[in-house]
Amino acid sequence: MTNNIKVPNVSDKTYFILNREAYDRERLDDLMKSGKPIQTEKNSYWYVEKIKRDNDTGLDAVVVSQGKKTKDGKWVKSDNPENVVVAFAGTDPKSQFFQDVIDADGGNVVMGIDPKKKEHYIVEKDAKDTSKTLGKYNGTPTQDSMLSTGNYKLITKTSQIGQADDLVREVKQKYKGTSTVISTTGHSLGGAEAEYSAVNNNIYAVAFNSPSIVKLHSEEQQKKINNGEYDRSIKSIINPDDMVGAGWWNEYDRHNGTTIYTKDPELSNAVREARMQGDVFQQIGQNAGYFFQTAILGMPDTHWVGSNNFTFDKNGNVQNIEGDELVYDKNLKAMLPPEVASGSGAIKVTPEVAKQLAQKVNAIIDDLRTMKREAENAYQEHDAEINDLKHDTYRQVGHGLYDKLTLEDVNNTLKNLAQSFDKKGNPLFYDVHAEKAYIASLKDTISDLEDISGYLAQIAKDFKSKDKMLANWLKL
Amino acid sequence: MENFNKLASLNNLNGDQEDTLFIRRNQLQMLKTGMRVTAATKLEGIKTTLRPKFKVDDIQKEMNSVYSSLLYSFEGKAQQALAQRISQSAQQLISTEKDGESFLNGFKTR
Repeated sequence: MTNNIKVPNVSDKTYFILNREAYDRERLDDLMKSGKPIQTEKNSYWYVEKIKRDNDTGLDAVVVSQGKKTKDGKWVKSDNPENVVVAFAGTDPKSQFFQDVIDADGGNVVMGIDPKKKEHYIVEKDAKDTSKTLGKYNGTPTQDSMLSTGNYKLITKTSQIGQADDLVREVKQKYKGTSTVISTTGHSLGGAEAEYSAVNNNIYAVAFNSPSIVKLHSEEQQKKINNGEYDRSIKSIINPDDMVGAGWWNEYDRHNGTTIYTKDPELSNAVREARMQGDVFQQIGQNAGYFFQTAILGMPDTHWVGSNNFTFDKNGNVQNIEGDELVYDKNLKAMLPPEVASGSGAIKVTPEVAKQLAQKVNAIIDDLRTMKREAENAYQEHDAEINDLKHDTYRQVGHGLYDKLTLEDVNNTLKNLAQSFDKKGNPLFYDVHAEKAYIASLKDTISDLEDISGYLAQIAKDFKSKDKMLANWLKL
Repeated sequence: MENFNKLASLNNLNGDQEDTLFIRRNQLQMLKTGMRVTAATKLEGIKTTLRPKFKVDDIQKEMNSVYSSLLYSFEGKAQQALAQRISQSAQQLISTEKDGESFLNGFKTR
């Protein structure tokens, strides 16, 4: 990982919630004034430190710091927060169409215009707040005559992506020399800003449905990105059906770090291929239609940072939206557990680590063997319980409530209720096929983990040959 | 008259038998309901005992750290190939978890 970028102990879910909060301007203004925190998860409170908006460029950012718990259990703002997150709101076509959609999405993201390119704006000479100027300076005679009065001046601003980068640099500088970990997050265009500034400032980022902006970086940075240097520090969590996040036209080659699709992209890719049928005009029509339908009309909505597009497990890790346990790592082209796909905090294997990992896997194998024994012996508990039921009921027949019934009636009733019978004709109240399938599955898992443990044990002994051994192991 | 008396007594006998049959049928139905409820409680108890023994959450967590360490110790094509192997292993573990759940859910009356 580049320059040992610190991975914050902040869950995907917390980033997701901070993204949603970043869109609610009024609430953020209130929280800033009142000093009340945002709760993202149980025991996760965040205080608004700074709000930065620019009506000219469309920048919409909030800086939040993680609260701390006092001895008497109250949450308060910390002078030395463990984490500070800069969250960027994304494209807002309703209120900032020109700034977000035309200038930033169209100009920077799609056309690749340098986000650091400065443009001139006219502002009153004594204006203290320059976040809203009188407009972009285009050299018109009216603007020139205004300037000639001496009551106005020109100031320069970069794009909102450039401003995002400057804000992150400023925040990083503020916490320089402290233990506070700075990270960024954002959705859509805000995600692009989070990624862009994370690359330039060597910090961690989690973006949601963000467009690829790799080409906005310098040649040198692009090389690093393509070498995977930010794969473990920048995470783009993307719905593969979303055109903004997965590709306007063809699928993006990559984002700045690891791209995690919230489901297997096979079907999404097939739909994309269908959109690319026909001549170029048909393709434009089909793609524009799909964009209008999903991103504008939301039928279905593929883009919003909502629970219809992103869900999380109990540990706050992003989940497969279709309910599977694995997500798709686009860079590695594999369905992986979310924690593995992000790779955050993974310890690199050394001979000693390999030995420890082999031991860990062996301990897991022992647990699975115990599990298998339990499954194989589960019938004993079942037999004992059913036997109890039979004999308890025997005692109730032939008198009282069941005076007209016999032991045979009990046996027959038991048979009627049973799912199947063993070889001796005893009633069984469990699915014997499921029992067999489970025991076989445990056997397969044990064998699979023995295979992995075997490789780890081998490289622990001869670490230098780990690549060769890997090739042999995987039969490459 | 004699014939009439015989017929009347036969009718009475059928009525008693019918009553007995009716009571027996009711008792059998009650027995079946009672045994179904008791069996379901006992089977639920078995599931409750077995479920924690078949939990793989911790195993998955531990294996994820092993997978991550292994995966990020390689680069390029070796890493991609290893990712496929790890994906296969993770899927096998998930399938075992699901098979365990199906086995437990299979403890029930017909």
